[in-house]
Formats: sequence, structure tokens, C-alpha cells
Amino acid sequence: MSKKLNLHATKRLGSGTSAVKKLRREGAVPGVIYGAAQDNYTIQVKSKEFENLLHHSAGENVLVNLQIEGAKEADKLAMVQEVQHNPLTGQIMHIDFHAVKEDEEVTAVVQVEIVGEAAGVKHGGLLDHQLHSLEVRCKPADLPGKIEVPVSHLEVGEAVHVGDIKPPGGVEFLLDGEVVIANVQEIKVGVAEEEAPAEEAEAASVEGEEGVEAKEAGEAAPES
Amino acid sequence: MPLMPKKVKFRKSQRGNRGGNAQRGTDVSFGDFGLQCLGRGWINSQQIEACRVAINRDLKRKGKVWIRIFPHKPTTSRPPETRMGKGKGAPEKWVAVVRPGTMLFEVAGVSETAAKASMRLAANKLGIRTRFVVRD
Repeated sequence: MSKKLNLHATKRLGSGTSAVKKLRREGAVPGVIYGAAQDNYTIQVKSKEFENLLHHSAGENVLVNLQIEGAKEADKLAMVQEVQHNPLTGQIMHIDFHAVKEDEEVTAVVQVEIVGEAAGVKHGGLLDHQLHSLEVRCKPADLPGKIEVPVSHLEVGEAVHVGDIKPPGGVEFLLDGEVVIANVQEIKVGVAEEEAPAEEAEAASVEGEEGVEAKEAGEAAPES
Repeated sequence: MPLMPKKVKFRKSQRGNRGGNAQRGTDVSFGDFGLQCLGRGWINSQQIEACRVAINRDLKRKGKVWIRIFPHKPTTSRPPETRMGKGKGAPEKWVAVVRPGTMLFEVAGVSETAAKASMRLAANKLGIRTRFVVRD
């Protein structure tokens, strides 16, 4: 279950590319806060402070108690809805905060983590992790950081479905129970056999071309 | 059979531009490890195929491989010893336009060491700077 963490923020006045670029240079991250029963407005948080907060939490589903300077309500309970990163540098570009109420249910996406090594993998199978995140509905205080899926019992050809996982207390999975989270597949040996003749054929065709060239060269030589 | 579209609306395309960074297809979405592009340019279908073969051979078909790019764009070239003019050349290759940040290949079901080694071999087939990345 996620616990509330305190985070300082300031109401942001400037908007647009140049204003947010300037903010980032100064070590702040632009963000926005929205949610039911409140006005949407832009805010900024200190980059270091937010990075530390993320590092010390289990997942990206963090429940924060935002203390916003310049806002009507000083304290606001919010969920980190989305964190945008620069794909090259990893720098945090923007944060979306979703204002929530403690007694109202919210929908969130939680990471799925595979626990243990599948028995089928020991017998030469391949574990295919298909579902990396899961949509859940729960009260903010019950929001799990991640959902652990044990796979140690899986043999080759078996799968673990959403319906096989018992949700943590107060949490409801929004996906259908038949959706596959992970399965153990048999490694196809046929691919190896398929590819080998193709490569041989390629090699043969190259040799064939060389042979033709050599023959042509041989024919050309006596003429010259 | 190298990758190419099944059907296209126009046989030849203009070169286009490759400015900016990749805006999508930048995360490790399917596998556990990936090869991310740091440069910009065109990667043709032969290079993609060479990478695929290199990865599969190195992993001895133990893992699962995803190719995250597709050569949608036709490129043309002029026959050798041809004078300028007389129209655009004939379609020659199919290329994928890549920008910094594009995820090129992904691998799952193998150790990090094995994935890194196979991605290094694949990176050697490309004329673009790349880096090995792990899923967050």
C-alpha cells in the first residue's frame, strides 16, 4: 500500500516552451494538477526533490501530499498520474498530478512484476511476459506500488491469467480475467532448421555467381 | 525475405527531413532489453535483416526478438555511368527513418550479458550510434 509523501510545489505563472525550458535550466520541473471538484492549474516542483521521492518509492504510483505555494488550498492530496522523461537523457520533463479524495475510488495503472523462475524454463521453455502493467480501481490509500505475479509453478504450455491473481485488499482489476499475464512457450527448434537451408542456398547462389564470373573471365582471356 | 511494404500508394518518395528527436517508439515496450538509436539516418531492410540474423545466431534462438522499426520508405538510385537528367532513378531499397531515441530491437527471455553481447553484434551492422538499454 502506498503511503503519503510530502512534496513542495509552487503555482506556475509562465507557460509555453520557452518558459518551461527556462524552468528546467533552473532545476525545476513543470507540472499540472487536475482532478474532480477543483480548478486545473500549472505548478512547478524542484527536480531533485521529486527524483528523490521517486527513488524511494516502489513504483511510479505515488500518493503525494502537495503543499502548493500560491494556491487557495495549501495542502492537496494527489496521485502522480504521469511522468514524462526525455528518451535520451532520462531527465524528467513534466509531471501530471491527479488531485484525489481519500474516500473516492480512483483508476490507476500499476506495474506487474514476475516473481520466481518458472518450472518450464528449467525444462527448456521460454517465459513470455506479455502484460507489463495492469489497470486497477481502488481507494488512493489502497493503491499498490506493484502487483507481484508468482510464476514458479508454470510448466511449458501453461499460462497465468489476470483471473488467477488475487488482488490486494480493496483493489479491483479492471481487465478481463482471461487476459494472459505470462506464459511459458516451447522453444521452436524448427526455426533453426528452416534458416539453415536458406543460408546455404544464399551461399550457394553467391558461389554460383562467382563461378559464372570466373567462367566469363576465363572465356574472355583467350579472346584478348 | 527482407522487410518491405506489401503495397504502397506511390512508388517513389521524396527524401524528407530527419530533424528532431524521436517522439514515439522510444521505450522498451515488449522485451526486457533493447537497442536504442542515438543518431539519425536511414536504416535499410538489408541492415535490419543482418541485425536480426546476428541477434538470433548469437542467442542460439533461446530468447524472443522484436524488430521495432519497419522500412516504409522507398529510395531510388541511378544506374552507374548514367548522365544527369532523364528523370528520377528506379526504386532500389526500402529504408526506415530513425531519429535519436528510436528503439530498434528488443530482446526477452535471456540474461542481460547475453542480450548485451547480441545487441553489440547487431549494432555493428548499423552505421549509426546506438546504446544498450534495460527496461525500467
